[in-house]
Amino acid sequence: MFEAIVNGLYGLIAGFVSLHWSNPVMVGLGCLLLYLGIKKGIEPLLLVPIGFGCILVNIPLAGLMEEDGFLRTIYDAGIATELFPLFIFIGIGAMTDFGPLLENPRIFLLGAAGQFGIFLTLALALALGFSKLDAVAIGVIGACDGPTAIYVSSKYAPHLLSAVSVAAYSYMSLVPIIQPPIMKFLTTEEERKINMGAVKKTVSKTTKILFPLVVTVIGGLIAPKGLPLLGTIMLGNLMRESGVVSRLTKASENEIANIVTLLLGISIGATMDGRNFLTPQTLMVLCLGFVAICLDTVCGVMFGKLLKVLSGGKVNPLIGAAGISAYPMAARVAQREGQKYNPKNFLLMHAMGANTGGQVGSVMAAAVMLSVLKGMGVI
Amino acid sequence: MVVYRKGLKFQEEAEMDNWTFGITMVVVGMGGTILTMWGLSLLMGLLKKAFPYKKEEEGK
Repeated sequence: MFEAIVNGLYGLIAGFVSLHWSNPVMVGLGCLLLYLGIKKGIEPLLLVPIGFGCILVNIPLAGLMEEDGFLRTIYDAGIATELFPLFIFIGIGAMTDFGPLLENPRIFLLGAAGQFGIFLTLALALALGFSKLDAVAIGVIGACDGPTAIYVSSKYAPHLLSAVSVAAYSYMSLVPIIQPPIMKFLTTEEERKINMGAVKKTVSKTTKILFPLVVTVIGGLIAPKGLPLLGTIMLGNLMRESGVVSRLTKASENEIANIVTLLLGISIGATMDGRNFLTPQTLMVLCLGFVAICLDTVCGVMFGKLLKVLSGGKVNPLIGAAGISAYPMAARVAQREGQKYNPKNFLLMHAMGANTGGQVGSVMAAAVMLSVLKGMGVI
Repeated sequence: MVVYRKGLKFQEEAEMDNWTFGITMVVVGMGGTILTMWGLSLLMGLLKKAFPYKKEEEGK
């Protein structure tokens, strides 16, 4: 009987005994994510479930990520199958107004330039010794687009999923801190003062409806491997612009997006097991992710400068920094920086155009990347 | 069969070194993205001309 009591008592302390040194550290990291989300308001919709998922998975013996564990079931259902990022994309498409982009289609080019960081970081990761597919997953942090990063890394480098997604969402929320010094360094005061005037409303409803169809067909033909990404964001946008399925549009941007965000967040948190996460590799991924966002900004602003020259000085290069997918933070940063130097400058709608161009660009860049990989026989 | 596939895969990996892979991804990836987006900008410009905005659309 005494042995049974001892065994029973051991059952109550087995969790403490089985703690690995990395588990308390990760619980602390989970708490930090919760703090950032709850107290600082940084991406709370994602950081709260990610932080809590991180805490859950680092409590030993619960088996939440083992076969039949509830977090494993959610992960297998939505991340391993890539469904969650795609559902999120339908919601993003339903929420996004591409009108400012269509007012001035040249701005599409800024959305492309803002993705160059993906490819340059990929090359850098290769140079640092990462394997090809690991480098692809790291480079895609530069898309500044959480669902795209999750889609690519879960498919081709699932062991990096947690690091890549944490980096993608963290740096997205840090865009207002990361971008301004780079924008200031690369532009002159005269350039920052350029007034682009008001955006006129010149896009017909027909054009707005045709836009998602054209992007889906043309983009799909050029980069078929990325069609799931392109198709879902454009489906959401078609529903929005058609105006005839408002129930589906509202469900996509509210209920579906909310439920999937919760499940996506907790699943990502569940991949942050300390034994796998606390490695030098994770640190390198985080550093390279930072480099990717910086390179995106550099390329975007430099391309903005090129457009300024080509347009005879009508384009303010600051909007080039908004050619990334972090919507609408990047556009707000461009507006704020522009107004610092010219209080009468209202760049917001132009920057929104570049920003929505960045959303299309990030998906297109990932699609192009996957199709090039397929063409080379790497995937 | 399995060994053959593994061998083949290894051989394919060995054929493309990281340098070639990296340069290809940078050139084709960046070039492909900008060309696609440029093509889309031209197409959307054409669509805007083909279906011009009408004042009556306001408020719809």
